[in-house]
Amino acid sequence: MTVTIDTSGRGDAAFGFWSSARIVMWRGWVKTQRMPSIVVQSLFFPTFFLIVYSGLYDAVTDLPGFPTDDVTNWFLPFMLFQGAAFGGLGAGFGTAVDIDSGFFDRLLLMPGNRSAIMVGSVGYALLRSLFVAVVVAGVGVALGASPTDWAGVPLLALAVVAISIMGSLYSLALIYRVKDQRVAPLFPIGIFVLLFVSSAQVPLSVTTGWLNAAGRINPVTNLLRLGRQAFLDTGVTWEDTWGGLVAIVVCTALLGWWAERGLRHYNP
Amino acid sequence: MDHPIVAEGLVRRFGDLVAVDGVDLHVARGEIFGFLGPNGAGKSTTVRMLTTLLSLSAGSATVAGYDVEREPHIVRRVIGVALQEAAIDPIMTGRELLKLQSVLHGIKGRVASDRGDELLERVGLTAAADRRVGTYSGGMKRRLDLALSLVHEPEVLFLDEPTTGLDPTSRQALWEEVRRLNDEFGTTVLLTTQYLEEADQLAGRIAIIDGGVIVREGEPDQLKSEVGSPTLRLDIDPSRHDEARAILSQYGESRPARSERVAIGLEGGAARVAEVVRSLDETSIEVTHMELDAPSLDDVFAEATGRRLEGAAETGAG
Repeated sequence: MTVTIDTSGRGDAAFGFWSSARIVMWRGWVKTQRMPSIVVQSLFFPTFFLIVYSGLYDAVTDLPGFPTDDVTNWFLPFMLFQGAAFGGLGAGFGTAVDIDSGFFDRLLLMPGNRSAIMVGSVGYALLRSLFVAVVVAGVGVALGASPTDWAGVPLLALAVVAISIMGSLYSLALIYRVKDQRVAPLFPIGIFVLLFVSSAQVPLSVTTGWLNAAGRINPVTNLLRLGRQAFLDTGVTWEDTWGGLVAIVVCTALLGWWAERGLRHYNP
Repeated sequence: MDHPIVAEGLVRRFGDLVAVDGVDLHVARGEIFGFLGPNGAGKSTTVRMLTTLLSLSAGSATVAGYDVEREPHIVRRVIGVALQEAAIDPIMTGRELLKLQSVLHGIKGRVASDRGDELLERVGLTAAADRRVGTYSGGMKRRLDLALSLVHEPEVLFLDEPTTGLDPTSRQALWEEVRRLNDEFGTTVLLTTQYLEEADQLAGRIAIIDGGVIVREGEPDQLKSEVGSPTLRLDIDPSRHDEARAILSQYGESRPARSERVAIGLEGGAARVAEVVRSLDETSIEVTHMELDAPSLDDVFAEATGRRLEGAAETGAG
């Protein structure tokens, strides 16, 4: 058998970019199926918190100006975000293991554009995140969550996908630079800070001081505004939509650029 | 293009450490070239530069006529690489990894699956193809690694310590496969190793690297003949080594040896062994064990560096 090797020097993008990205994604998914434990963290915590918060914080809806009288409706988008973000970190965790084992070198030896490795890792993490999102949403519905405006559901889905991609890019940018599995436990710290210093727990209007100031500039607040519209009494409004869309575009672009540069400079 | 691998003045620094310091290599088409040296000598670092996994601090290199710095994508299309300690995902099966490797090299569908089957058969892994690689023995992993590196029929093959940690039988099997590849397809092979026997058995030419510098280069037999006389190694009470060395100096120059031994390059060869023993006996120096070896690559290494390869210390770089 003869395999024809193209040495014409044509552009990298032509050399199986998407098929390479798909095969990297496929590998991640195969591994997840064989080691389901790797999704436990991203699945367990949002599910657990959703159940606990729904039971504990019912009275929070009595706060003046609270935009819903159903606490599960309030917390479900937040927990979907948390699951998506931690699912997204799977890209970085997987890459950290590959770097440690030397398998990442095998991927780097691909002749095509190495960005396909990054795209494939993000795609795999997105699959994980979507799986988690479906389970958490199911639990939320079982606990009584119910959309008040169905037009907001695609916006929530968009925000979940975006959060997963951002989580992936953030973790990949870090691991490409540090190149050491020991950095992996630090991934969740940034996510925790961003998620909790926002309007995740209560509306910004009831926060004060530095928390309020930080929440206002935190892009996650805008993403929560975008995603929560499906479940709040106010329904979908442009005012609560545009900030989230801007946050998605800007944050994804910046994190993508950061991760891409990290990969490009992986071999110093 | 008669030399698919050409490196000139290759340098790689890691901070203050110079891991590779001005390496020149010219590997001819269809040649098996052995890169021999102890751990930390700079072998793997050189291979990583030639395979585009590491950038060059200075110098230049071409592989299959393509510049590793300016045309790394094309270099990666024409090389196969089996890296140190077989970087293979233990969760995947052999067949799945071949599929992944094929797609990464632009080979898809039926062609990829046929090629995978052919390679699995070639390296004797057809029966284990659908088992997770984590269940493979060290030798099976190495053979799979070799198959993975051959998926796209590379023009140049880099094998970085392909038999480290393998038992003798697995080592022999891998050697045979490398020889077969070279014989049947004329694949140019650059093989790094710290095993003298491996370099001696497989390589048509070798370069000995130590401390990032090539200290000898040539055909194994030629290098060995340049060392000259055979080595006589004598086990003697260490308290009497100085006396013994003084006596032995009339029979040949001293050579590096393990601590309990004294070694010389015996001028005149085996015919003078009895004379040496008599001289020592006359001064009551007891010889408990004695070996006379024709020059080996270890002698070549010792002559070039003042150390034995097996005892060479690790210095850090790969």
